[in-house]
Amino acid sequence: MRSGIKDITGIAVHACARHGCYCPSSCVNFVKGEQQKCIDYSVSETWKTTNCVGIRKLLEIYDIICQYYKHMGKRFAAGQPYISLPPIDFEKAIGMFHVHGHQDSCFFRFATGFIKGAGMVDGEILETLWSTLNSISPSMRTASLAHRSEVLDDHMNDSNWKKIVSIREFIQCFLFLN
Amino acid sequence: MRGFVVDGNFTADHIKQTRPYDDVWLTDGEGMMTARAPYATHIKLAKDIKEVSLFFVPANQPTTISIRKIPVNHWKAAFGRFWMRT
Repeated sequence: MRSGIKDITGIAVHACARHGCYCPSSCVNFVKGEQQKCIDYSVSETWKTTNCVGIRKLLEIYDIICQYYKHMGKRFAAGQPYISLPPIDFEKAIGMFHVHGHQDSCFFRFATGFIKGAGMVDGEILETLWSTLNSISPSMRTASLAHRSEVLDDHMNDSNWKKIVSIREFIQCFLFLN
Repeated sequence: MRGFVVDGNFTADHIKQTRPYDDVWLTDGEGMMTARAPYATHIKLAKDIKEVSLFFVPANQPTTISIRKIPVNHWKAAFGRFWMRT
């Protein structure tokens, strides 16, 4: 059901699984719930903007990837002019919190701990980013669309910038502890 | 291996504007948000592939599912762990 008073019901973003930096140009607006075509666009924008050419494998962590990947090839192959997949192998995974809400078989297929080369990632970094973004996004509910996109842009950029600036102190602290 | 996390957020919603044509757009796809025109056309063009239920009933069949009509292999797929061999 399309909402009567809302024209955008939410957003979806890609973020780096390790550091939690937002991927540029990957924030899509939902027009009617969390549709798979919206996520498709975000996926294709992400690999285009994050310099993915020449790497061996991509790890895609999504809460409902067990459902999402089923027709992924069909959706991308059907002569779509705006979305495309990189010529790289995808590894599919579910975050370590959400995987426990799935079937038992999903745990062994998609938990990040069982994927070779994935490292120690819980795939829930976006939940921590949402908690900071959630304090400003309700005030953008009645703003104009242009203003909303600018403010969300600014806050996401600021989050990335703070990470770049403060990673030095983090690494320093990490080295001293060891 | 480069890892990406995707997630949706439903707090960042938006109420319809009364005069959307008055908007002044300074950026279009340069920042974190996608470019507007290609995304809007993509949403318009793309078709969602419907999920197929495990107990799939074709359109010409009556929608009431009779337990007897479900094939054995579907039962096995759904309740494989509890399936009793005779």
